[in-house]
Amino acid sequence: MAIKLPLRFRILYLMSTKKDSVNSEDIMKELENDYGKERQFKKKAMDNHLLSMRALGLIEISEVSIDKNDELIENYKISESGIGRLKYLPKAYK
Amino acid sequence: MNTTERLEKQEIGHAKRGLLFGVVSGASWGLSGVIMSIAFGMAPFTDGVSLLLAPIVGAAMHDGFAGLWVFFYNLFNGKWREYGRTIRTKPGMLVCLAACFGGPIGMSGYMLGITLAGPSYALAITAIYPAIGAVLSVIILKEKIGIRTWIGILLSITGVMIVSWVPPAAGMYPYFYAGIGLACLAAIGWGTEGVISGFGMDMVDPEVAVGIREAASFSVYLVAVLPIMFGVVGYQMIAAAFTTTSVWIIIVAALLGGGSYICWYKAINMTGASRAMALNITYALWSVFFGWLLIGTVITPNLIIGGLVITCGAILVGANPKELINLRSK
Repeated sequence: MAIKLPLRFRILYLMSTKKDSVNSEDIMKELENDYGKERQFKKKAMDNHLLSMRALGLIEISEVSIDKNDELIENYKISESGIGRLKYLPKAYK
Repeated sequence: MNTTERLEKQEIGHAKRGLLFGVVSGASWGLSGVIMSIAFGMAPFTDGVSLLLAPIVGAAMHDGFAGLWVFFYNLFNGKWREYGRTIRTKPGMLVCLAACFGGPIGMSGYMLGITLAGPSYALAITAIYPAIGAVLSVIILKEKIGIRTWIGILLSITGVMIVSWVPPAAGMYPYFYAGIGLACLAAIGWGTEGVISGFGMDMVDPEVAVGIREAASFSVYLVAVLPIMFGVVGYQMIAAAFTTTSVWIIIVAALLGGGSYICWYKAINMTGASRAMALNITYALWSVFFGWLLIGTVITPNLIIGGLVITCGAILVGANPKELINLRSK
């Protein structure tokens, strides 16, 4: 893939390639290679992106659980309206 | 507390932080405006070559410096690489388009409206921008707006009109109707900016969007608005400003203005364009408060009544956070 996408585009694209839902840990692992060296690549920032994208209806929650540290873990998948936005991705990502 | 309740609490928390960003955007915009008015009282902006020159040059410099501040901020939080990536995408270009509506159309219209029709009319008319924005956001963004939110938006607008209403002095403004028209144009510009950038920001990080917005707005001022309206005189005034202390005042105002824009765009992204706009116009109230604090603006009964109405409106806009969980209809 030639050019790097803006992070939010990349998150949406990643979800469009996954059959199962993903949580923010999964996304961080998947994107570590491409974005890991950038200071914007933090768990808290990732959670915020996901919260906004969900409120705006691009992604939806498919499953929620609580882990052993009593942290809330949300699993997301791409929504209908999110799939509609994939048309804004550059050609290399279609 | 079970899992569903915790999830709901987290989502409401996110939306509430968005509402807070909306209020902070209004307060910092009000303060930024008061500081800009101090700069406009200094050389070279007082050497009136043309009535229209100083406000437009000031607005251009404000957006230029705000763009620099926001870039430093994004350098610090590691988002500067996103500029180039974003600008190549369609939502990134939409943010540039939004910038043209907000800066060269919105801000210039507002500044010219103040000059030609007086601040009270200009402020009262531009304050309807959240209503224009709310109508557009229902159509374009499919945003859900309940009755209570509509009443809140209308109350805030009414409050701003009460605050800024001063019976005009007859004969002071020979180009009065042109000024009114330009203030209407500004309201349309700002309402459109919020909705277009809101659409783009579904996919673009709000902090990156503001950086691109300020840079795009400044570029349009520099290569189109200034030369078309004033020829070389506009550039001469910018150069002259750099030799006086007024440039430092604009740099401070731009720090607040850039911060205000970050808060506004974050609010649009977190709590919806219509609510963010309704909270943003509280700047009319804040500018009176900071004006009283810094440059001795007199507080009148109008200001107190209008202020209370704006506050009631703002409270109604954010009254039921549960409505904020899903911002758009399916």
